[in-house]
Amino acid sequence: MKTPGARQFLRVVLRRHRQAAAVCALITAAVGAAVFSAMPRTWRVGADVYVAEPVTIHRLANPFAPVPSPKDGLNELTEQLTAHEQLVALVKRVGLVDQWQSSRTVPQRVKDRVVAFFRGPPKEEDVLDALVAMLEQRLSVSVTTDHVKIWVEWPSRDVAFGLVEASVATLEHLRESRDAEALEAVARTLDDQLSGVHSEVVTRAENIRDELVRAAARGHRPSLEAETEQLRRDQSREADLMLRAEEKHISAEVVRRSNTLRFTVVHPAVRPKVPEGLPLALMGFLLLLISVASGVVGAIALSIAGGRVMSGGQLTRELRVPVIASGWVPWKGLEEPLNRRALVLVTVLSVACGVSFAVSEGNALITFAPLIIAFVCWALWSLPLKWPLLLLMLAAVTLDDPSDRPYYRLWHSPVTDAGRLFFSNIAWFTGFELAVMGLVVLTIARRLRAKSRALPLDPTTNLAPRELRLAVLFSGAAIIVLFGYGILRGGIFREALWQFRVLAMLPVISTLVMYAFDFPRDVKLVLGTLVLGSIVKSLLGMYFIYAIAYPSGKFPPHTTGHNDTMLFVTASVVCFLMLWEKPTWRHLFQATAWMAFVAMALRLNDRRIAYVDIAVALLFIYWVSPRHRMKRLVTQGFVLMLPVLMMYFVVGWSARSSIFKPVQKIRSIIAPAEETEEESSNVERDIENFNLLKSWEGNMIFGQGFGHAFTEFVPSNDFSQSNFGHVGHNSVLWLLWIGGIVGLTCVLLYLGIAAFFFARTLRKAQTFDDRVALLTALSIMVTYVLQAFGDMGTEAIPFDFFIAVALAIIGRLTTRLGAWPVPIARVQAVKSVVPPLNGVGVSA
Amino acid sequence: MSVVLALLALPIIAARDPLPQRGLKRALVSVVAFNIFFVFLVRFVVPRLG
Repeated sequence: MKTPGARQFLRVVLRRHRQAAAVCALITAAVGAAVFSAMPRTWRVGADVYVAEPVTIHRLANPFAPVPSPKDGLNELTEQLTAHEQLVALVKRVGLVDQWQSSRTVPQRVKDRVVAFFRGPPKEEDVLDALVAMLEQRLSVSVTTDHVKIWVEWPSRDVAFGLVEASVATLEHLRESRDAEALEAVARTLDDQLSGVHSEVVTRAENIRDELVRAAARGHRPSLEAETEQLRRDQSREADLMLRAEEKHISAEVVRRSNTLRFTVVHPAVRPKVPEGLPLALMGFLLLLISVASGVVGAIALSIAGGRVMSGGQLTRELRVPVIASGWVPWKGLEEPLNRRALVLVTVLSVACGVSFAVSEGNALITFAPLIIAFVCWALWSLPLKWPLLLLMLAAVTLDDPSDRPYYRLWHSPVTDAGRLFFSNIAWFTGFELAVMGLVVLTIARRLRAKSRALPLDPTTNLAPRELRLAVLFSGAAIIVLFGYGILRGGIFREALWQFRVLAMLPVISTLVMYAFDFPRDVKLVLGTLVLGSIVKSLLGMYFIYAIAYPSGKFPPHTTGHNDTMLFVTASVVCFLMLWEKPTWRHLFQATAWMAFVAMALRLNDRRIAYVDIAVALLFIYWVSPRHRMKRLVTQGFVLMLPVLMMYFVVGWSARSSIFKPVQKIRSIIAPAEETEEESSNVERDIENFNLLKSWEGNMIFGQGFGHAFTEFVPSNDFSQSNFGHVGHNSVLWLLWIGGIVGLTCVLLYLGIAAFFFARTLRKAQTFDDRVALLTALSIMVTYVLQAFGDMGTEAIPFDFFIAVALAIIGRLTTRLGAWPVPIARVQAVKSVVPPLNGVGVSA
Repeated sequence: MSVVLALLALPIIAARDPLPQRGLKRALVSVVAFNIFFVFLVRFVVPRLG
């Protein structure tokens, strides 16, 4: 049986709301056309100037002076031509201030009148500033080896032309005014020196002559050797200065005379015939497209909000009876009236589509942005919270954090820009923080409306134990208290904000994730996201190292960032866990295929702490696991291999061979060889830890609070790396100093409670999925604590997601497996997904 | 390793208690006690070791 789907739904929707769809399309088309015709068009005018130094003239005119290089001053040209004073001069030269009124379009004039009504007419200085700011954005100068290209985009064709012409003239004049005047200045200085030396020579010569006359009168021979020697030196210096001054005068003149020959306008500025943007026919087609899309979306929105259109597929599923015929007759049954709010929304959307089309001048993405935003909002409102959270998690583990020095700042990867948006400050907060705050608002709003829903979107039963949820919130409260405490004690607000923001996000994300995901059902989704993230990261790392870095002769010590370590460690441990819990050929194949990527990623990440994380996580897994087959096998194997392993370590401790690389790695962590990079790094960390602990002794119980910097008792080479004492590489000691032993305990206590619930639940977990999920959660917690101890683990956004997932796995499974006595969960009556058929228009 | 011991190992050991509520109390007490012991060590014992 063929199950009708989206296509039939669309057909039914359009048939039912055909009038509304047509009105929406018309509104979009009319608004788009009207705004487009009222909007100023952009005219782009450019000129290309070829730059070549007239070498022959220099050589002929001044054979002893060095010929200036053709590249002299080229690199500074962009800066000079777009300097503020140049732009002011350009605006005045073209007379833009006088044309201000006449150049304004209808919407701009309306805006000007509104502004003038409240603030009075604009002053000339304000107009000039506005024009200069506009020109700053619209004038572009690019300099290549021997070409200077000047482009202007302006709402008026003639003005654009005039601006480019004036810029070219400025370019030609720049050299004359700058280089020639500089040479003249040097020549004048030399002239001054020359006249000084000359007067000295004259005076000295007169002195010698007078001395000679006086000596002749007395009848003895004077000793004037020193004076004569000095006179000779002065004369020689005078001649040298004369030559140099003359040379500079000539050079200045040559530069001035040859200037017109230096610049050749290859492509002069011409008035364009058509404005920028798509051709009118294409614009018309795009307007048609957006109008149709607006109509379709309007009809769908109306039916979702009120009309209740059902497809045959839905009927089949609900009635368990196949729909075998479709009459093509419009249903005339009881139909709900159109929802007024939906009508307003649809009208606003149609107008927004028209405006976005006109403003974007044919940019497809911006044109469809209102529809995309509407769709995203609808999806966020209608889909379970786990989907946007998964998307955020994927973004956190795949995007590049600019502060983490990805790819050693040698490569701008495809995910760098998105990473900047996600991890850097936009509108006071990072994109990540804004997204999380948005999800919190969404969750609260949905909870408030939950009573009117037939079925909750998110899994509200089998929530994590109250004790665990409270512990997480308690951690958040402790962070906020430490923030207030620190500020009250004179801490700097701005520094405090940077210190605690990632840490404070953890309880929020954890609460969201514990609420949104239902484990073990969602384990595969989360692990799939991690698999995708680790593969993307390792592929990007490999591409960078083998296609970018090595071919260009660069050998960066690491490729991916510090924050990626958690991803690779967790991925490695999951590979191991699959075999540890169920050693089958299928698991062996899957683990081997995935491990190939992960191992490569670990090597490219090149962080010693990653291996420590894996080792300690595996030790914990071994410790908490019951004596199953794999544990017995590993134990027996280890005991048998112990003598060999000991020999290997003893021999490899001081060996240099690559066979003993694992031993060398371990040695670099425990006791690095002297004068190595590892030893230097360890010493710096030891110094910082010492400084932190000494600072902590100031208030061991309650600490300093956020917003302070620790004291540099022992000078450190990389004190700047710790933001001058505001952030410690060892997050545990840093937190100890921030909050004292009380603060540290309160902030991290949730980990202890989670570990407690983990251990109780693991004993009850029998299935493969449950056990792998729980042990993965343990591995994440171990890695988090070690990363916190080793290298700013509490300051990494991706780690927040990992810990949140670990807590959610433990919490949900604890309740589901009955490892903790919880009040009997409210049994929620599962109502039908589809509302009753009475009053529903059906066309199948 | 002290932090791993305090935050993860001690609660896991405490979870072996047959009574869940008592186990949780033991976990909390052991974490807090360990932290106090840590302060004592750093303040009084470590300086004497030189």
